Amino acid sequence: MRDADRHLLLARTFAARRLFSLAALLSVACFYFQAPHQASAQSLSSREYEIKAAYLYNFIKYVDWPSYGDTISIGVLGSDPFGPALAPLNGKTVKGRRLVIKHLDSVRDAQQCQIIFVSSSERQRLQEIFESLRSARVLTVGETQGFADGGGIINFIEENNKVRFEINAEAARRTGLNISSELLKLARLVKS
Amino acid sequence: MKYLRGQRRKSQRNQEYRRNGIAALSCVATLVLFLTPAYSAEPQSANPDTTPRGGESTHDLTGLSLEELYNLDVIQLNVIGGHTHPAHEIMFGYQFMFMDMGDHLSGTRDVSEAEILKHFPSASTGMTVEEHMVEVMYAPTNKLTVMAMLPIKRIDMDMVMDGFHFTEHSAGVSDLQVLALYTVLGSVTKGHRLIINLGMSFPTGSIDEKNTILGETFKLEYPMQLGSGTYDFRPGLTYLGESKKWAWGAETRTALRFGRNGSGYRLGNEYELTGWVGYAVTDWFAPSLRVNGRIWGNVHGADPDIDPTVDAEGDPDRQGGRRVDFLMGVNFFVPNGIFKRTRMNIEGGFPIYEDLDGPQLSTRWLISAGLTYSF
Repeated sequence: MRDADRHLLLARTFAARRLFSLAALLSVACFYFQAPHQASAQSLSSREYEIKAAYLYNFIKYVDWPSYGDTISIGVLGSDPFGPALAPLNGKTVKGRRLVIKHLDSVRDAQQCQIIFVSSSERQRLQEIFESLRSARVLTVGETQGFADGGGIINFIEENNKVRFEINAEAARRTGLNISSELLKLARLVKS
Repeated sequence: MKYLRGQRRKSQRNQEYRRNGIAALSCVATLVLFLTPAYSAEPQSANPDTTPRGGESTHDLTGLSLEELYNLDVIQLNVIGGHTHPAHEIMFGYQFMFMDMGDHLSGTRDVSEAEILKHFPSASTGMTVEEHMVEVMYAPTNKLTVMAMLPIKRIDMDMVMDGFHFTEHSAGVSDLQVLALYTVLGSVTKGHRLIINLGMSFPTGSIDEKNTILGETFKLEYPMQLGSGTYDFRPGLTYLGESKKWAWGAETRTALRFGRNGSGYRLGNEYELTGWVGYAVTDWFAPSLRVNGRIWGNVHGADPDIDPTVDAEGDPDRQGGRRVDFLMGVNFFVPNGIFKRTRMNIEGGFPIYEDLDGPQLSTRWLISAGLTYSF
């Protein structure tokens, strides 16, 4: 093969390679950039909160309150980490009562609820919250380190890629709530 | 002459090999492009537990018992993810890599064989590198994963000298690598992780590969040797991001070499930066894209048994380069059944930028496939 032919062949091979590269890049870019990007915003934490929401629903079955109204209310205090995860609970029936989800502006509104989920955004004022709820028959649930030790009743913890919980049984007794042994059996027990 | 005819047939076989490789690569690309649209059409309502609200979807897990919730994984293992392992998990893996090289570059400029033969009595015309790697990983804790990898290489380089074609060949064990991956920030459940990689490679690969051509035995050039001959430090940093459907990340890898090996040289340091994104179309299938940039240095010192004047591959100052590869992959995961937690991936690509301290053979394409099993 003459040098000129060889150069021509090399040039053609290279041009074909570039063309193939460009076509492949463009095709793939088209597919990826038209992708529904909300998926990337839907973080893994949403599954964590789907599990926590289901736990809240289950807690109602394993906790007895001294008295009930027509509804059972779950209030979220502080910034809501659940996103849409609590929505499926709204309107469900537990213990013959309709479940209502509320977003609370202040701890005063918490008195009307059976369960209060105290968001980790409230970690600085946990003692103030516990103090305000001292006489209320409210199951306090949190997800902040030291929540149960500090006087909260149930605290979610992460353990080996699973959502587990700790219970301060003493705080529950003080509040007048009766927690079933089945729930206590699964919990890590802590004291104030 | 009979020998040379045999070598020429081998060269032709290698070229056929390359053509088949390009076809395989095209198949991977087509598969990626064919399967990718499936996710955009993924129906949100396909899951009966999904409750759409404000453009978002959620799963209602209230049907699960307390015990079921207690044992539910926050991160369900699926086709994306991996990399490190939960405490006490063991993983065995096998990786295959094939790289085809041809066409010479000096810097980013194409150089013909004729031009090379003006300066050297022989020139390479093509090269293939085949690598089989067995790996084992173990996680003593959730944060720490240790791993060992042993590559086995087969390298063929087609040469031409005075119009005669022949193929150089080397094969055997390469350098053993031992690595520790430690998660310093984040966790699997947080969706973001920063992992420090600390490792060493041990000189288990030969640096004394020789061939006999036409009755003459000679030591093979630097790219044909199987190992570095030195104990190399291999630090790196990995960032992993994961959401329900997406996995993305970036990783730096380096090979820092010190001293001289038994043949009086050390290979240049290597620096690699890679970034990727993958999308889980289903629990078991995810296409992925990756861009990999690599810089590697020239040889320091020289092996007195390799003549730098015979061909460019024997010149210590013509070994370094910079390259950016674009790679497309498909990843499979077995979520259930007897092969549960088996992962398979196939990835192929080509350089989109290459700058070599040449003349050196440039990379045409590369393909890799892997199979791992965790328990």
